[in-house]
Amino acid sequence: MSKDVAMIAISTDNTSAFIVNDGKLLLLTPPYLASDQIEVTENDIDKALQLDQFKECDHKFDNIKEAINFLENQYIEMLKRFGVVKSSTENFKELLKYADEGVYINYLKRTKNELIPNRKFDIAEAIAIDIMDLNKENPDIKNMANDILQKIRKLRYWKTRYQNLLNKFPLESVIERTEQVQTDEQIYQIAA
Amino acid sequence: MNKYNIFEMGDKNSDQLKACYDIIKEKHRGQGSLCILEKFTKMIEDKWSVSINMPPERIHRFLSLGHCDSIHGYIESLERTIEKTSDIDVDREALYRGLLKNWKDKRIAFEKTFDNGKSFKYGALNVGGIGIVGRYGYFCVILDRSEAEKYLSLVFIMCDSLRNYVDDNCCVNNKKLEKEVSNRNHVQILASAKHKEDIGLTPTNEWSKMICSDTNYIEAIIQDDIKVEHIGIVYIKKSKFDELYNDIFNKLADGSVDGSFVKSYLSDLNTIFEKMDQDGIRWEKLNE
Repeated sequence: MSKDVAMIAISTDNTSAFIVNDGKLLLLTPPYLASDQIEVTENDIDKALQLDQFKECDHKFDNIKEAINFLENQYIEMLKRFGVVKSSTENFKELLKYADEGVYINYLKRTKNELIPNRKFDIAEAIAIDIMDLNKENPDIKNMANDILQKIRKLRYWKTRYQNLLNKFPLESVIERTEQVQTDEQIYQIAA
Repeated sequence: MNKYNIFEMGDKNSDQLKACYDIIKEKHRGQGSLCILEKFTKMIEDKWSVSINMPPERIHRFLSLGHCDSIHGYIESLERTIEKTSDIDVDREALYRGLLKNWKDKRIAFEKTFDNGKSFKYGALNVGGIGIVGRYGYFCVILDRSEAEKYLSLVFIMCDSLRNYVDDNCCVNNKKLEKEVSNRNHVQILASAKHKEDIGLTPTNEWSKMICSDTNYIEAIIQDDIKVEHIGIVYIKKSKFDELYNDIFNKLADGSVDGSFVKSYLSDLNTIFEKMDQDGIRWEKLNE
């Protein structure tokens, strides 16, 4: 299988690199998010090499994700070497404890709109519980999280009791119906 | 070779700056914009402080050590850490290149020109905002004004020291520098002289960004020890974090968060927030 991404130069500390991906020259820098992938020119690379900032290399990767994985490992090695920071294995709640209200609300919206329709109930529930726990003093966020938990409970109940229905209809329409109906009799009428 | 004293240069330029300000005032009076010039000058006088932008690993080091190293101090402490924690040979040149990139030779030439140049720490004039994020890092340490006022050796220069006062042959243009340097008492005049044409064209709520951004700033040079206790507040670029949190969510959704780089990276950042909270340092994420 051909390798589609070429890393042509890497920084002296091995944490940033110039790559060729899909005909484009890109500079990848930590933490390697979308905004850290900057399109550059050949001139920029020549300059970086001339100034001893980067050294030439010849690594090939199947895709950009692999190239980023490679740099991520180099970055972790660099940090370990410097002893500056230590990676921890905090749980999700620990990870989110310095997020702000906007982030929590965004997470809850994405949980409702992306995780629940894809039936990822366990992770959706974990997110809602942790965010609720982190926002004990914020009634709006607590209510949003609580609504999500109620919905998950209802859907789990449906999933076990009316599996055939869920096999037959898309989850979105089931969610919509759960909001409207209350009794088993009504549910069987829909299923019929 | 006799070395220059940049802090004395700042003091000596005071009269020249005041004379220059009188001329600028007259010009603005003639144009009917004296009021806006004086408002700008007063704003700088009231609000000036110094900001130092840093990447995560550098602020982590600052908080751990309790003081902000000069470039050389930082390199030396990294060398000591590497020697203690691993058996690899320390490559001092590589450490310098990693930190200073292509500015190493110019930086060394600049510092050699001045008394105690190796102990200089660099920041920027700041009257609000998140500083020079793109070049130096998305953590912006703002020094407490009352602490900065106590520094014995602090000067401001009109532009970036290496880009504007050191040529490609690493010669320092002292003639230019001595006209564009001020002590802290006259930083408002230096800033007014620099921005005399822009003040009227820029909305007042954008003045702080005009004074200090990725593309334009007034550099601060400090020789005093900068201690953690001198920090007034730390601003952090909010959009960087929003992006990190989004990435975490994506990885949660596809079940790949455990062991991921982004989780480890964010965990490391959390240790910085924890340390700041423990030390009673105010911090805030800023939209900019």
